[in-house]
Amino acid sequence: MDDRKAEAVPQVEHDSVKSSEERVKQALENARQAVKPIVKQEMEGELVSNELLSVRLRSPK
Amino acid sequence: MPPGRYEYPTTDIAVSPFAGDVRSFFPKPQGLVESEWPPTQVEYLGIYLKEIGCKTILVEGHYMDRDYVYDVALFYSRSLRSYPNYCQRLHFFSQEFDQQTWRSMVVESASREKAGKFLRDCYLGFSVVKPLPGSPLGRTVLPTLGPEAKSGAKRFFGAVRPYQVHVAGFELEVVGLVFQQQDQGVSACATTALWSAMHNVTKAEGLTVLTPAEITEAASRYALPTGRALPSEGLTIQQICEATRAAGLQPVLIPSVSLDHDRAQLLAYLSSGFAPVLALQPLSGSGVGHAVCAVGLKISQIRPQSNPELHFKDRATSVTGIYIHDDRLGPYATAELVSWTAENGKIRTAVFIRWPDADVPAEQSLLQAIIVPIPSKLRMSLTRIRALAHGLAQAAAVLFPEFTGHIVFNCRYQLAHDYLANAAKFGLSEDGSYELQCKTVLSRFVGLIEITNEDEPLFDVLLDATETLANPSALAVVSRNGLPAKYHPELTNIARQFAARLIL
Repeated sequence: MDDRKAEAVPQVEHDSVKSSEERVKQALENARQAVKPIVKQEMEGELVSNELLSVRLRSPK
Repeated sequence: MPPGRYEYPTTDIAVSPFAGDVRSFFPKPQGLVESEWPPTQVEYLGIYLKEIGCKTILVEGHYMDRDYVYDVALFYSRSLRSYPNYCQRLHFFSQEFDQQTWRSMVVESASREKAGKFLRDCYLGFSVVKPLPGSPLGRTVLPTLGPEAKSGAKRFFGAVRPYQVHVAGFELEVVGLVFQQQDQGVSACATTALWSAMHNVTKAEGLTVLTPAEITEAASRYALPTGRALPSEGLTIQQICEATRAAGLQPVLIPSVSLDHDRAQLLAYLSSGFAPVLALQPLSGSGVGHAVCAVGLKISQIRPQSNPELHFKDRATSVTGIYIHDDRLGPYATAELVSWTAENGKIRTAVFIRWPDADVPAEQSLLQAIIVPIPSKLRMSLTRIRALAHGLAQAAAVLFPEFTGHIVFNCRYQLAHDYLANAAKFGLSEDGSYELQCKTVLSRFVGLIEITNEDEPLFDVLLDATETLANPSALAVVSRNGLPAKYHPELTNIARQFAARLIL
């Protein structure tokens, strides 16, 4: 058996796993950047003001 | 009763056919009535009962109602007028029967079981009639409207629960959410809305449900910006939060940001079983705010993505309306959610409330805030879950190219045991199924991100809802039926990136 050949197979698999992992990592990071404006808008909207806390709810029946 | 006489009251249970309205059960009080009679809520009740097919009303002459007794103890017992401490209760049925048949059902022991089944099958719920001249409609639980609206839109009622009812030894059940007319003696609209909102979650958490009077007291304990607690002058949003904490729950306060944001919050909380209180500002009138309790959703098609850079859709865009308990109107009133340009040019969310049989909205309001009473240990905010879900959906659209443009994300909370109870239907391997159900530690509530190919589930991400940040709190990534095995390596790496357990 060719020793070099035997070693080469796991190396290819290892590279493929590594590249798949990198691809997913990159996709998640790109996605995070792409949705940043929506996320920022939703987060900033949650800030509660004193004015809002003082809104009185009392409608006549 | 003259002083010195201590008889117990006499009572009977009377049967009455439902003739299309319930005005006869709410006689006009003597003297000057300051508002219209019958109250709007009584008229609404008649219309709603007709809509759900009521045929017969059973009148329980003497009924002790826990909520009303607290109102009496706190407020009415100290009035000059002697208010009785008991009420009447009306039970509604979808089958016709008369007094003689009712008597037979009660006394004939041989057919008692059959009678019980008949009553259970046609039971539609109940209304308590309080002996208060101005606000007679008390605790009311009715079933929701059917699963499909006339427009073809789907109805979903997430914040309802079963209520067991006992009358003449029969145990009946109605699934709904409690409603009552506001009583300005002890509760304004905000109190009543919060009372309804807490009814489902307190029961599920094993907590005592506060009565409207207790809510008003708790809200006024530390802050009284309105001058006096009783008669109720209404509550501020801060007081609603205070009363929620007094009930053993936590208030999530979400300012209204945009229609998309508000729809997402309503969908997530209602589909998680939590009823939100909505703070509304009417577009016309006195400018005084109003509060209602959201009970259900009207769902149509999911809208396509409007941003060409993004390749996924948000399930929240399918929400077109809500069903609310409006204490000035009645239970399960229909309300549309629409975008509205306010005077300052800002785009806001407007709520158009309608009567069940009318095409014209009864009232138009701007949504100011959403307040949701939730269990204390549910700490991860929905906005944080959505922040993670947006990115995950966009990444899924890239990593699973055959689904690009059809990826939909949805976020909600779910009890871990409810999630696990459905695990057998996820299409997992035996090892995966065992791993999820026996080897994965889950928080009592999980934050759930569902990624689907339109309606077909692809995978879920389970988050530890007791944490405050979504990103480092992923417990598991779970493959679902719709995800082809060829994408398992990508899912494996997603789980790795989230430091979460992989379930295949």
